[in-house]
Amino acid sequence: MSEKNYALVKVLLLIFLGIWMLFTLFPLYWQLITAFKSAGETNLTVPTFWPDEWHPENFIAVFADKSNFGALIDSFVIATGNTLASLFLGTLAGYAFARFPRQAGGENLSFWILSNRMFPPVAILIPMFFLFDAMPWGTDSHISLIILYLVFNMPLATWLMMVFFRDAPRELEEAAYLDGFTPLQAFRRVTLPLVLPGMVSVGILCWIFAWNEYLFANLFVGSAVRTFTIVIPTFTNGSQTLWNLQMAFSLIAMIPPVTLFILLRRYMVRGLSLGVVKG
Amino acid sequence: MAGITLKNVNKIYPSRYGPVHAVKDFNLEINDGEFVALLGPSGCGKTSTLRMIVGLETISSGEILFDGRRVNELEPRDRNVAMAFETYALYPNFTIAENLSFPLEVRGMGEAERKKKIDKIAQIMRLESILEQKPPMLSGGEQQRVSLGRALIRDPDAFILDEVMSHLDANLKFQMLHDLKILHRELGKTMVYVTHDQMEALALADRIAVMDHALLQQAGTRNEVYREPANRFVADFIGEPPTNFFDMLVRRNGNDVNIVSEDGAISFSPPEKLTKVLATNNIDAVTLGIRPQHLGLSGTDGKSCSLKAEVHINEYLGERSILTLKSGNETFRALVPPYTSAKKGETVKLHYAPEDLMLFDAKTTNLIA
Repeated sequence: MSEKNYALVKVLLLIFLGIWMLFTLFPLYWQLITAFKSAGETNLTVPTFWPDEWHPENFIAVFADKSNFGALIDSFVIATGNTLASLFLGTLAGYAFARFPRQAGGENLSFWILSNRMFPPVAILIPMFFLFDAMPWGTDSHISLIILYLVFNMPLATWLMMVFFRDAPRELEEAAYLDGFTPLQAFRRVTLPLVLPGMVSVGILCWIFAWNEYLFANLFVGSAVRTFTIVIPTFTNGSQTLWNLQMAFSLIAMIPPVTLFILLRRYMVRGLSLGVVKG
Repeated sequence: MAGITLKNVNKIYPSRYGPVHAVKDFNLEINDGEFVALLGPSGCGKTSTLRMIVGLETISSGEILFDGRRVNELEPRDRNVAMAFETYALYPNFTIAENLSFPLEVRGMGEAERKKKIDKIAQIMRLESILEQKPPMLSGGEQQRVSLGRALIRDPDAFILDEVMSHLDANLKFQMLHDLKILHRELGKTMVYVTHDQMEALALADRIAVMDHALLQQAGTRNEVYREPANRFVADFIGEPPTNFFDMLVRRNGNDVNIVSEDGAISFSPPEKLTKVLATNNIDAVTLGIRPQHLGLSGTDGKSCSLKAEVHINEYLGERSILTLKSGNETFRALVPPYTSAKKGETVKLHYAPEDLMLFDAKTTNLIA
């Protein structure tokens, strides 16, 4: 490529990235400034692109109802519990599918598990409600959502972990057997460390899904347990939507996943590129 | 220390397209302290055999005995055999020292003792300088030395080496061949070496077991498999360049026996021993084999016989030249000294000693004599 063409490509790329960033960053910017506006300013016919008056007290106002803080905790418990369960089941199942495909039901079973993920959840909303309502813990509990989200997260975890395990050389385990390990020891000490970056990224994906879920949470929980996603729409004043409080609360709810991502981004990148590069 | 006995061992893998018989009725006695090479082309069943010995694969039928004790049902960790893998199989997240320490740790050895053993093995395998590094940082040769070191460290009864040199370049390979030979001499342990490279097998093993198509073709000393190959396959597989084969007819004339090619262009006079054998049986079609090494341009002493052929290609390989020759419908090769000036189209006279001829039954491909 000639010097001139190269420059042109670079400019086009920058323009593309600029537009792309506008698309992705504008909502964030809008969320940020709205969170600091007064309720009146959010409802102006001609919106302001910079708050006339800054109202940081919005961030305190969202906790006027003390249980709103509890909602963040509830979301955290559900997301974390579901992630741990998904990882536990997905890792074991993925290992079985990767190493013992015949004994573990073959491709059909593993694909059926993945197909659960493709199923549109809305279609089973009502049946699921009745099913969980019949359980001893009812629908309005942490455990109900932890189990329910497994329907989405476990297939994902199983499938991804299966791919990671397939890429982890079998000889390492065999060498470990000969070195004197039991299969369980070999799995724990030799194979698991190899797929750990992958596990972390799968965990983040599961956690974010469970953290953000609204549809089922809205139907299932609401009094004993409340997730933050169903708290956000409660910031209204009669017929008026309090956009400023909704944005302030969702900004706060963004902190845990963003922190998680920053802390684990090294693993995340390694995990997502696992199996791409050999060695 | 252990002798390994394989008795009628079979391996059948189930597959989507029906069962695959990977090892058929394999019988072999490996003596205590012996270095045996399992040699064969890829897919011949040698790796399956080895995996059954160490316990990574179940035995479909038959028995494997260590020192007369049946081990079929034992887990790999209870068989006390060590294995070095083609891909080295070092634990990538652990340092070399930790890799070496693993087999000892799992057996509950104390730290001080472990340290002592690691130092000793590191010295033998020349690993002292890399003990704190991790496997991905090392070269192939170093990784393979670590893998051998890990196999050696816990003093197993037998070593199983699976194609350990196939990823090493030529120089390292020679070094490794030397190292292995010395190790075997010093330790006196039973070693089973799996390879598809006949040069490695010939260089290392006391005995070579040649496999093809799931069957053991021949087990014998290097000299036996080279000089008296049990069948055409063994003669073809062992030796470089490969043996020349000719489809020949036996012509009997009283006590005189001649072996002639179908178009009559080539004829060989068999040695007395062969003549006797051929005179008493009634085999008419034979495959005659002669190694390129045994065809020379200069053997003119009384014992040698000769045949004429036209030079087709003259390949100069540094220390040798390979002549590809044509005679009638047959094409064959001869290994000659370098700087042989024979040009394409030239007719040369080749000499051979009659006792170097190998005669195989054309139908069964087994050695006649």
